[in-house]
Order: sequence, then C-alpha cells, then structure tokens
Amino acid sequence: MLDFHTLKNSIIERFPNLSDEYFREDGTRLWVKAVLPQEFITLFDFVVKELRFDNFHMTVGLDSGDYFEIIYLLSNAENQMLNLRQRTVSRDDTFAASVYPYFENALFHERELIDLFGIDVQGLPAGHRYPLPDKWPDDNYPLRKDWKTEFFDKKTLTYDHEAAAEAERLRLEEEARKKAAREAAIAAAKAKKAQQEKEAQANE
Amino acid sequence: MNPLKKLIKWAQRKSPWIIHFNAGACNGCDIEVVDALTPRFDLERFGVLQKGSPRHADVLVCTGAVTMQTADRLKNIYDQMAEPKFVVAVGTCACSGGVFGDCYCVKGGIDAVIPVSAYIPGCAARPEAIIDGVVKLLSTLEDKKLQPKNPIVINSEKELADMLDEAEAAEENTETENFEENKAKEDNENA
Repeated sequence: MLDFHTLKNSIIERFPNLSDEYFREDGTRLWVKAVLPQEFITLFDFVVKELRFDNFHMTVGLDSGDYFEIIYLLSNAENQMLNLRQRTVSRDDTFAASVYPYFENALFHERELIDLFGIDVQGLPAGHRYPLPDKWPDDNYPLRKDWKTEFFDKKTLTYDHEAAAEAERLRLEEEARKKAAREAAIAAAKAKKAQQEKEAQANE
Repeated sequence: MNPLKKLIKWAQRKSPWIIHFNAGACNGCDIEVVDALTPRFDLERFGVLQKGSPRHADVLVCTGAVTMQTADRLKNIYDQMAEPKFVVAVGTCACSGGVFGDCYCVKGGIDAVIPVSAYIPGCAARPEAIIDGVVKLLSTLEDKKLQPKNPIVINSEKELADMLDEAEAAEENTETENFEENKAKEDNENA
C-alpha cells in the first residue's frame, strides 16, 4: 500500500506542471485541484491504469462562478480515495472529456451533467436525454447558480430572463447598501472610541 | 335503478380492484401501500386486490408529487381505466405536492392532472389511514351515487392521536383496577 505522499510524488513526476499546491490530503482522501480537459484525460489514464485507482464511484458537478468543475471520486483496492477534478475553460466554452471509455457506469452521471449543468461532455454513445423531462426547453440548466426556479414558468416552459436580471440587480444593490451601512457603522464606532480615549487622556 | 348498474355497484363495493401508480414518490408511501395490502394489515379482507393492468382496476392509488415526465403517463393510465373509476391520493406529496411542490420539474399534487376522490395525507401515510380511506370511499358508494359528492379527506394524525389517548386512558384504568384487586386480595389473606 502506497501512502499519499508517494502517490503525490509519482503524479508530480509524470506531470511536472502540477505543483505541490495542487494536492491536499484529508484523512483517507487525496484531493487534486481542477485541470483542463486535454491534460485531465492523460492524468485520468495514468491514475486509473498505472496507479490502479480502478473503482469509479460517482461524479459531482460544481458551478464555480467563472467555469464549471466535475469531481470524479475514485478508489483503489486498499480503500484509498482520490478526488480528481476536471474544469471547463469558461461558462460559455463548456467542453469536457468523457471517462465513459474507462468506466461504463459513468454514462448516467455524465448525462446528468449534460442535462442539469449544461456541460458539453464529449465522447458518449447516442441515446435519450436523462433525467429531465422530454419537453424540457433547451438552454435551461436547473442546477446552475444563476438559474432560479421562481422565474421559470412551469406551464409555458419559458424562463423570464428580464425578471431574473432585474432581481439580480436589486440583490446587488441591496448588498452594496448593506455593506456601506456596515462600514459606516464600524467607522462611527471607531471614531466614538477614539474620542472616548481622548477624553480619558484629557481627564488624566 | 338499472339492474346492470346495481350489479356493478355491488361488485365494486364488495371487491374493488386497485392499481398502484408511483408518480414520483420517494418510495416511502409505496412501502406503506404494499404494507396495507399484505397480510399484516390485509386490505384483501375487504376484497381489495392489486391488479397489473389499469383496464382491470376500479381504484387508482397514486403516491408522490406529479413530475412533468409522469403527468402524461398518469393521464394515460387514468384514461385507460373503465368507468366508474376512483382516484386515491396517498401521502402529503400526492395531496398537494408537499416539499417537492416548488421543484423545477414538479407540477403539484395528483389533482393537478386528474380528479381525486379521496385524499390521505401523512408522510408517509400510515397503513391504517390508507385502509380507512379505502373503506370510507367504499361506504360512500352505498349512497345512490356512483361518485362521492365531495372528496374524502382522512385526518390520520389527529384521529391516530385520539386513538392513542383513548388506548392509554384504558390501560391506566385496567392497571389501577388490577392494583386495587390485588390489594383487596392481600388484605383478605392477611385477615
């Protein structure tokens, strides 16, 4: 059984551009930071075929704001967990490579990523969509952070982009107002404290 | 009344056949429906049989909130059933949509798609409540109508709480009685 330190070093030896800060150990788990698809697929190949992490558990989709991430949970025969991450280039360029050639059970996980996050996973066999309804409109991805259920009309199946933008603008304004109020309160408290100290010094 | 209608009503009351459909439930209510049908609670003693085809069934027992994908299928199954037909919504989700009501792909309760004759709330609905709902539905058929006028609502939690209170009170009474009897016996022996 290899410890995580050896595993980490063997990965860094093979992929020199992954520095030490790409890794994090957490008990029985080794986390690797997100890499772009072209590099990810060679990394995945190396980890599965040579480091023998050949149990594929699940994928997790993640909306990181500027781009999307996919976390792959792998384990080996010694019960060690390895979390690999693949990231897309941006919110608009959502290409991601499929791990279906390595693990056939990834098929439904990746179909979910396509439907719920709108990640363009390439390399899957032809088939039905999963798991959203057949009539679901295109360009509506319910697990994205900027997609809100309250602006989706379930009867006409349309998303009210204008109302959503207006609500987002109001939310940002409210946030800015609250931040300004908090800063003003802190400044006032500081000024009061300074004055009290001054008075105390004067009394002395 | 038309003798044929009379015969149908008699047969329905004595042996209603049901079909169970999961419209998007978490399987909690499905387990309770199966529990109600199988020998522990034994709905079959009222002549209730579960059937595999909607064409053979009189009562459609639905569990779970209706999703967009199952709405068309539910309507299809309802249309395939022969008249007169009844729908029983089992569980809170089937009654109103429940916690899933605001979800992006959920249409709401069963009554968002098809008319419902009896509502059985509860998360999950108890087998006793399901039996109570079916029996009450059947007893309304004794009237001259083939469909109940208003939907039946089983307030299972309150009824159950009352039942438990009664049972507890009865138990306490018997305990005190036994205690008094024993004490009287002891006194007699001592004397």
